[in-house]
Amino acid sequence: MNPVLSYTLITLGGVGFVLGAALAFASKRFAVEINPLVEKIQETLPGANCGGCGYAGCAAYAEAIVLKGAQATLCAPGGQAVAQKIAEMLGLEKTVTLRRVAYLHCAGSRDKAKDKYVYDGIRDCRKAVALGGGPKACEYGCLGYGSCVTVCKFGALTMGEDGLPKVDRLKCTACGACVRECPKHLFDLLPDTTMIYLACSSHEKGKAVKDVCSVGCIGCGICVKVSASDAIELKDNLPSIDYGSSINLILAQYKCPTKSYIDQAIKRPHMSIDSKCKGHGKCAGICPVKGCISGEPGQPYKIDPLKCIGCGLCLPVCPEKAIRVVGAMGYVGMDMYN
Amino acid sequence: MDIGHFFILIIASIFINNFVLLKFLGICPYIGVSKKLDSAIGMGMAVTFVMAVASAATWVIYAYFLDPQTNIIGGTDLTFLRTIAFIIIIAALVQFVEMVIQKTSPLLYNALGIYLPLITTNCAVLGVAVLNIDEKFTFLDSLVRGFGSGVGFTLALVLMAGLRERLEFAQIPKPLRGIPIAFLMASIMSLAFMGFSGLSLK
Repeated sequence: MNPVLSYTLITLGGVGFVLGAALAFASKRFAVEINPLVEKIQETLPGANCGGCGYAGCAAYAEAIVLKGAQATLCAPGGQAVAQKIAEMLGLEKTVTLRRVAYLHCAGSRDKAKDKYVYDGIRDCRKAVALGGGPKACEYGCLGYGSCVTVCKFGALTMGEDGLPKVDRLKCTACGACVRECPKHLFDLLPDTTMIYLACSSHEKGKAVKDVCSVGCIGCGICVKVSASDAIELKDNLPSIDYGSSINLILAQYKCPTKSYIDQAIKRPHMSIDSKCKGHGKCAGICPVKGCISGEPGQPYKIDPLKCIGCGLCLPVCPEKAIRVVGAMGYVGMDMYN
Repeated sequence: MDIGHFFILIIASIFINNFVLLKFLGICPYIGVSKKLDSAIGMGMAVTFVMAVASAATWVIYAYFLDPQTNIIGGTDLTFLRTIAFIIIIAALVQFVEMVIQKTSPLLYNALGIYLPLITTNCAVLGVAVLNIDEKFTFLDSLVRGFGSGVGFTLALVLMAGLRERLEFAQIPKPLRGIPIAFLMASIMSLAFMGFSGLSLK
């Protein structure tokens, strides 16, 4: 055999063999014992390392589940599916996680909220806040330099043209990075079934709010009154709402004089009265919208579909159950009677 | 064989022959890992260690097996095997280092994360091994140069990371945000380091 060829084989083969043997030995000698369950759970987790669970990353969370008995439902990006898989691995019963999404409690866009000075510094909310609370005249307003956008690992936040961050509800995993980052504490994680929310965080008195922002909450308390629910109360000039409850905020949004509530529903259903109506007129008495329900007592009443805001207050008062929900998106009208 | 010689060697490999800024090797981890100071330091330490050990290991393999003048297999010229042999050694070394660190210091292992295996394909490591041979360095010279080059790599990475962390808050024109401004900065830093090439250490 050609000596160069044979020496090549010997040298490279020898080097490979020696290194291979050394690595094989090392892998035994330096083997780290990992609980196989930890590894399995870590594989199940999405691997985003977002820290939304409160641990340093997916690996740390997997370890905490097995060794420290952490909850299996803490992974926000993984959601229900991952929580269930982990619960199965641990032999637990199936657990339910509620999908949540980040909501910005401020609507003070550039054209709606005033500035108190011109800021030409570092484009970062946390830096801007250091200078007299930031350039926004409203102490509670969104500064719009996008610190929340930079910390979002899932691309769920973008800075809108109006100077307010926009949440992509499908991409948001409720990891809470924006909630922690925002120096004004404007973000909140709410159940993603929340369609109407209060887009203001100002605790200022009515006049002070009016002076600086056209959509700020003036603390008039109309929403609290019309909602007539324990889940909403006025605290320090701002309605405090329990979004987890089944509170109906349609009326609050409709009545709000400053339009501080935002409704994210594309289209609300409206009510319609059918021929079963005997004309008691109870619906007209309870309807909060002027001229929406019209009719003569004894004759079938009519609902103006353009005026109806879909609050559904008339549904339970009709003794003949003649009112139906029309054009609903995911609403089952008849259920609201029960 | 005095201390001064090694001192000059280290200074030269950090400043005058900086692998990233003056030889343009290892640009990929340089741009990729220099976004945060923490990870830049971690990567720098790992590369420094691998460079030093790889320089020594490749020198031994080259001198005793490949080089026709000094090898122990009858003067057969196997220098053409240099690249493949070096890559095998570096890859095995990185694997080994990873295992050892994982066993001995889980904290450091977690801190380095994915950067450890990435070093396998870092051309600066192969570069320092090849240059040691080309410039006919002795074993000790190679070891010292490997270490010094690693420190130089770390320095470049840390400087860049410090700049890029500040860059986050700067108002950069939209088309330049991200990698483009990093490249511009890297080239300006490289120009600055070119000034060291006038330095003479004798």
